[in-house]
Amino acid sequence: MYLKPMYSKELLKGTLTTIILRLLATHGKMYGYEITQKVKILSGEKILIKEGSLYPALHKLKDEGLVKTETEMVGNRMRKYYSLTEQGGVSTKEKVDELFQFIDTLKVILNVNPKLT
Amino acid sequence: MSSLTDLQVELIRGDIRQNGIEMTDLEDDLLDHICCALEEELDVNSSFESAYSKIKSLVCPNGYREIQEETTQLLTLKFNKMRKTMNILGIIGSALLLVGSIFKLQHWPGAGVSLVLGGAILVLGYLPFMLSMSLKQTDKTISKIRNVVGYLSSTAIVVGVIFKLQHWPEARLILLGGIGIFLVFFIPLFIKSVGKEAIMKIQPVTSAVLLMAIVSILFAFSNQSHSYNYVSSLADINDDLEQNLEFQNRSAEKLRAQHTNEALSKSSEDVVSYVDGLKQYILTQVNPEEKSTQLHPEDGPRYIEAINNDVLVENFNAHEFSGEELQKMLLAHNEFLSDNKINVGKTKAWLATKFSHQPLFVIFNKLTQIQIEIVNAEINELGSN
Repeated sequence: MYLKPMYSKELLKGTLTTIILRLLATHGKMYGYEITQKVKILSGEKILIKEGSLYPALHKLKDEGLVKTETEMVGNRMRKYYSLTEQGGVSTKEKVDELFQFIDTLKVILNVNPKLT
Repeated sequence: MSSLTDLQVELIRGDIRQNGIEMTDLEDDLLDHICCALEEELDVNSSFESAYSKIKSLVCPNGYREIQEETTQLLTLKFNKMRKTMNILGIIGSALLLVGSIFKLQHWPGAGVSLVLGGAILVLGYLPFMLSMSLKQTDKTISKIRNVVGYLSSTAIVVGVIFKLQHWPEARLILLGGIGIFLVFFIPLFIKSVGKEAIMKIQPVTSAVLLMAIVSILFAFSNQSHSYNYVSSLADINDDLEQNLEFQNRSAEKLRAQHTNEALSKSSEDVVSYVDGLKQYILTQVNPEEKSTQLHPEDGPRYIEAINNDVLVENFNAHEFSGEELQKMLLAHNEFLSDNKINVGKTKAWLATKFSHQPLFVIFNKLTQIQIEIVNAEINELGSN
């Protein structure tokens, strides 16, 4: 249910908010559907964000004050654009750094015995 | 890219609401998302219905409600520990209510403590917490009203049941209020605000607590309603008899002033007050050891169905009051009466036919009847002189 396909949801569970924050940092304001499409394209369709994970995560980020929303009418429906707050910008940098460090650490751990690969 | 008509957008919005999305924010997100995906899909699939059902099953295979639940769960993560504690408390409280009701039904000791404790846990702990949690999960007025109404009615029902079982005042009013609010306001609001699909997905703990509460209520009332009409009509008859007795007593008073017959009046008063003692004795006979099951004159009918044996006859010699003694006194009293003697047999058979195997309340009525007969006999005797 979390992210799919290609990668197991357990593997990607901890990275969703970081991915969202990073995208917002790069592209400024984005709406929900745009985020899923962007991730799909950037990942070469290897990561598809499920709506059932994206919106809960976005609302949680908003609740924490890391993102803010602005609305725009499209026809008779409302489109909500999400963008980083100042605090969100700081947090994004920390989270991305942390994830990179984690990836490096993982590489070290998983490469202890090169014969494995 | 195709563009959706206003009507189609409204159809989707209605469907999202019908399926249990109660947060306006989330509703807007989902609506826009579904519309975007749908507009793309419509480029290759011209039927709105089939395109929508395809997108819907892709976006949320388990229904929209799941997305809201995931969201509120994330948002209230910091309350998780408390939520678990409260769930356990809720189950304990309901279980205590249930156990208390069963004990009450069986007239076992400890029923009152269990009921009050269980009720207090639900009313002071579980229900207010559930209310505060549920108010965080929605920003729609109708849902907020629904939650407050649900809280009020469930609190009133629990309090009412406990008051009723403990014979505290205004129980009926509280209980009827609670049930009324539940039926008239909560259920329509619930169906209107949550939608039919979401009803199937109420949290298991909530339904368990609800179920237990309902079972306790049923239990409590199966106890009360049983033979209620029979007993209450006996109580009504007794009220009439007592009024009659009082009226006769007043007439007797007047006559005593005019025609003195001290021996008769004294004997008459003695027998009447002896019967009063017997009646009082019946009121405390139900379960003399447990105070809470003793009969009180004002709520006599409530417990009377619990025993329908012949206490009077069985207690012939075990108590200062006995039917046999009453019989003797009546026979002695008849000596003072020249005419209009009281109808009393000389053998035990009379006692048996009069009182044996009668429900206590019937015996109670018969005793009042005897008192009236005694006063009547005195009036007739004095009047005939």
